[in-house]
Amino acid sequence: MGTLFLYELRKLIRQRYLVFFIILLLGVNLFNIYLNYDALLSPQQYVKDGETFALTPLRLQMDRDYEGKITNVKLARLKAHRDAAEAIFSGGDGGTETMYTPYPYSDMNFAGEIITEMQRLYTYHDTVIGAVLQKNAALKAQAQTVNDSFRLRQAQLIEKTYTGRSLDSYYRVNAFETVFSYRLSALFLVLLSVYSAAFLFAGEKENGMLPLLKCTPKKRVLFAAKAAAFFTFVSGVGILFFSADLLMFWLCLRPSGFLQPFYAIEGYTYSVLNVNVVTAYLLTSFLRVLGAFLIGCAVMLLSVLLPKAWHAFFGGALLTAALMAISLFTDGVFGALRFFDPVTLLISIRLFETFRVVNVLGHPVFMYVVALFGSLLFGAFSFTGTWLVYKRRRGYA
Amino acid sequence: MLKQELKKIFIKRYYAVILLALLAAEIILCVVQSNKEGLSGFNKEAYARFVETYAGENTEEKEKLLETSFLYLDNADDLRMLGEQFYQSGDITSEELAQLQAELQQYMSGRTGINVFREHYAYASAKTGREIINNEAWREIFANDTADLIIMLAIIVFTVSAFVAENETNFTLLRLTTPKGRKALYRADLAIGMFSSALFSVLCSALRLGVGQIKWDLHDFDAPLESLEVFENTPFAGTLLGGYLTATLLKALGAAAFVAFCFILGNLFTSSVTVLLAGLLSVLLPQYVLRNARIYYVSPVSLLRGTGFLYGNVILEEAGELPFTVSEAAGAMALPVSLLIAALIVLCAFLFCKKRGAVK
Repeated sequence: MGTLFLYELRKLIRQRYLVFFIILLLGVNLFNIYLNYDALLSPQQYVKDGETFALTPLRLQMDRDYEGKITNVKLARLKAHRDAAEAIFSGGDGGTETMYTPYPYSDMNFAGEIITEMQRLYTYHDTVIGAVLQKNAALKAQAQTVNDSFRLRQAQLIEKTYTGRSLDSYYRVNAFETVFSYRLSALFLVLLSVYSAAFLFAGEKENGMLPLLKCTPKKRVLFAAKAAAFFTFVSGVGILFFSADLLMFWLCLRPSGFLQPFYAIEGYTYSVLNVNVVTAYLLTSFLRVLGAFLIGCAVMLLSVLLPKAWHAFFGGALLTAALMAISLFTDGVFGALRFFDPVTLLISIRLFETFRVVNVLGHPVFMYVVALFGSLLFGAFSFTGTWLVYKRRRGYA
Repeated sequence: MLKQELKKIFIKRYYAVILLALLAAEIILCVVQSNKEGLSGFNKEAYARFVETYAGENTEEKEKLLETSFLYLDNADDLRMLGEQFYQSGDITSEELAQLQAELQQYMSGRTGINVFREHYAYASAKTGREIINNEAWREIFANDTADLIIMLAIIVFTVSAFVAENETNFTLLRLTTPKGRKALYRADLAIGMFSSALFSVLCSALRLGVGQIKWDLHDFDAPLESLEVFENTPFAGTLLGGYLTATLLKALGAAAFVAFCFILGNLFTSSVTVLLAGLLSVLLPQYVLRNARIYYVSPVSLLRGTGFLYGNVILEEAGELPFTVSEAAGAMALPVSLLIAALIVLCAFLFCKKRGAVK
């Protein structure tokens, strides 16, 4: 099995032009991040006395100086800095030697932004979590009164999820929101997955190898080896793309606070994840790789059914477009289809943004769990179908 | 020879069936798009009613009537209260009150549509030469500058089935042994592909206009192109219909050039799946990744975005809530450069024919 797996993996990687496309798409992806998110590489500029200053690095310096645990001393210092900047800006005495930027208005704004952010973080436990738990307590009491077991369990789950949360440190975590909502690399991963899956069986049929392979006693092991090699390939390319994304975004935006709680990011204040940013990124990346692999499983089924690889690729591209349409545009009764759609895993961050549960036999289950289970069911169905067709068909094109 | 090639491509390789299926998909897309409430979520009946009443050149009379209507809309609540007060004091009868309330209700329920019309009216009245048109309808039909994916698919499938599939089955070698198999046959295939894709592109544009006409019952074909907001700075001095036909012509030329580009890809990669992927990427990458770069308008598929060349030489902002995204405008040199690139691509494709035909 091990040898077959290695041979299949090598065969997959050595497909014509695959490495070329991987490099091309990786390059385009990184170029796209540079073009559209280049806060640092092409920073906001300010001209004074004929000299050009890049403001973004100066803002980063300010962030670095105030990073870490939020203390009264830091807050007082920031407020004093802001007031001094405002005084200079309003035409008062004082030069810009104590300022970070040559433009006091920028210092004033930057200091104001950091103060606001610190206050948001520091009061998170009382204002956000306090409000959620208070409202939840009322709903829980109501559920107990009317004996609604589902709502009672939901209230208990909310308590369990949100109790004990607090934030006490300031970092540039909000820049991570851009990283998590970035989707182009996932789209490229799906394209490469569909491309390589199309060749898995249809490619063998086209060059007449499949009947020969099916004559061998290793027919079943071969199938397993192909599937394992395909999963390894998709995972490897996924790791490559998502690591490159993180690196490029770090170069462009310089986020910090990798070990901060995920809910410290302003856009994910109500997130159900109680993990740090790195773990959250690993989790969402894993789900995206899984989503791409499951779509590839469906293309594998097309590959074993159809005589030509390009038929399988074309069908796979159309299937992917249809799955995207289902995931993005369905609602109402058809909205349930989204739970079986692997594309939902590709945009998995939406599943973690806020508290969303599904009523499963009276028990509240997190939506991401249901989506994961539904997608795995989709993949299992495709995989089983592929195996049944592979086992039965003669293998001629 | 042409007849044989046409029969082979359209009948034997089922390309006619594929084209019909794609045309059906285009119709469905047009209908689905036009039946949606739209991303703006406004009251389309009220909007259409106002357009029908006030369409055309902006006159003083229309201005007065519209100002009165907008006054009704802005003060509907106050007018309703006043009406009730007048009724209670006996100044108006119950029938008059009911009539007033019905009229005000019509304004209030159509508020979103009327406000959208008001914005378009403000644009139209800001400069002479602009007319009041059904802005929303024309935006739906015309203003989108993204290349039609259905046309892309038709072209890529054609390239694969007509050119690349023969490489894979080694039929190319047989072709090369025939007297006409070296140059004439390839040129015939290329010409068939270019002509049929251009025709398909024109059909799709005609369908889009037809569906729009059925849905919106348009009458303002002769209005100046500038009447549509996205064409505020257009250098094109024609009418809406003229602009649409120009965009259609550019798209048809773009489709023909794209066939030639896919033919070159087919000769480079010689594998159907790779050509498919390369073809898809050549469409998706300029359209979705490099949107902010000038090369967006000078890629091999740029002419397919025909409408964008009519925008004018002004940087327009991204409009996230509209049914399309307006990108950086083409610039004055974009069209000549795009046409030149398209011509070069077609020339290269025919030269490839010649090269493939050369006996080694």
